[in-house]
Amino acid sequence: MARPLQRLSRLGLVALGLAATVVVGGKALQTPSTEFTASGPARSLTAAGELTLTSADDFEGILVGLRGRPVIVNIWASWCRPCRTEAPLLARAGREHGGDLVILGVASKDTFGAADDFMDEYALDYPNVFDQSGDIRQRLALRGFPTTYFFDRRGILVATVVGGISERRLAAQIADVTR
Amino acid sequence: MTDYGLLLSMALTVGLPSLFVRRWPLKTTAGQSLTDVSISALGVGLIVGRIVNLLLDDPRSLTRLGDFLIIRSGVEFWAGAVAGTVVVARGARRDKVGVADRLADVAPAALVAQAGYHLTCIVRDGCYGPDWAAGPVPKGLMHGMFPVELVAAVVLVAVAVRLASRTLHPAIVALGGLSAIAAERSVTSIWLPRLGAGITRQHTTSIVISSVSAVGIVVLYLAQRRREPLPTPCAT
Repeated sequence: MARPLQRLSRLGLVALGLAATVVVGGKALQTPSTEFTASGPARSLTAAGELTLTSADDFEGILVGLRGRPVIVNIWASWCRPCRTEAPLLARAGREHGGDLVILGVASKDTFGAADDFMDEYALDYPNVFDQSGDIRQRLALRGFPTTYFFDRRGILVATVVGGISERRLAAQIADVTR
Repeated sequence: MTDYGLLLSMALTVGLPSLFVRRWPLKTTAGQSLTDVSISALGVGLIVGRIVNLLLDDPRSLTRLGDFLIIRSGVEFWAGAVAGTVVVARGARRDKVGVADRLADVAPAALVAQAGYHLTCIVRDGCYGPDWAAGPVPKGLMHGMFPVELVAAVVLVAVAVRLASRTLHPAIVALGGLSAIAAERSVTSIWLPRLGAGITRQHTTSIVISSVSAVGIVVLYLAQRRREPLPTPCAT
């Protein structure tokens, strides 16, 4: 009598463990959607290959000014390890697709000097802004470093990728927004 | 938490082969489980694959332990596979079993492990491929895609089942497994999204390995046929 009960309780524990894994995993895999629409007067894009101190309002103005072209915004920091691994990908994407879209980097929660050095180290030749106050990352509801935001030609945020982006995902998103 | 998807991938990559060998048990391991035989190979393969990936893409990261540990940013598959194969071969010698026999024994399970990794594209970046309106829409995209990795997983399992039937010479089974994975990787690399239009490193190395192993299979098969005695004609 004891053995069937033991087997049942073991099966029950396994089933409970599996159910917990599925529930926790399902929650973990969900990405809360970010809602953001840039507003305000249009501003011109900062110089390519340079790091420019920019306010959150000016950042939104840059996005408003870029409507008509897809934009990829990548928030990074020099101390962020996944940012280092994805930086060469973004640099390559900028060179391969520079005519079709704009890549705009945002260095946040960092020092200007370290961020500038990072750009030189990884030859980031697309425009980057420096978010000194942290307001830009707050407006974009940043959840973790790095995060990449994809805006279509109308300026609508269509995808957010939290964490280091793979080449595959980056290429697929680029193909999608430049369609 | 995209790394949760990677954790699930690892769990399925390790778990599915264990289920597979329940149906098609290993024959050269004298009581050792698949885990006993392959765990070291898996670990060594991951480390070597990661080191080679960093050497090729960003050698500076070799001096930073944190960068080294971010496996999600890339593992050089063939370097890892070669290292893992060497470990399995050494294990075979230690167990006084033929290297070809041991490799043929674990080859089907290796194919199933690769299939398991492909199956979990659903919980990783997404199941990408050429545009297909009827296909599933990967997370963050607006258009459906033909799930190349899911199809590759099914094909790999089918090949694994065939190889596990073991009516072929062990060297042919081992090379067959190698050729199947190489062919699958070269074909999927054509259809999966990539930056730029150039041919990828994965594609070129996989084509070479697939071609060499296919030639090896043909040579071995012909040699085996030459060694087999001619069938006795029926008495009249």
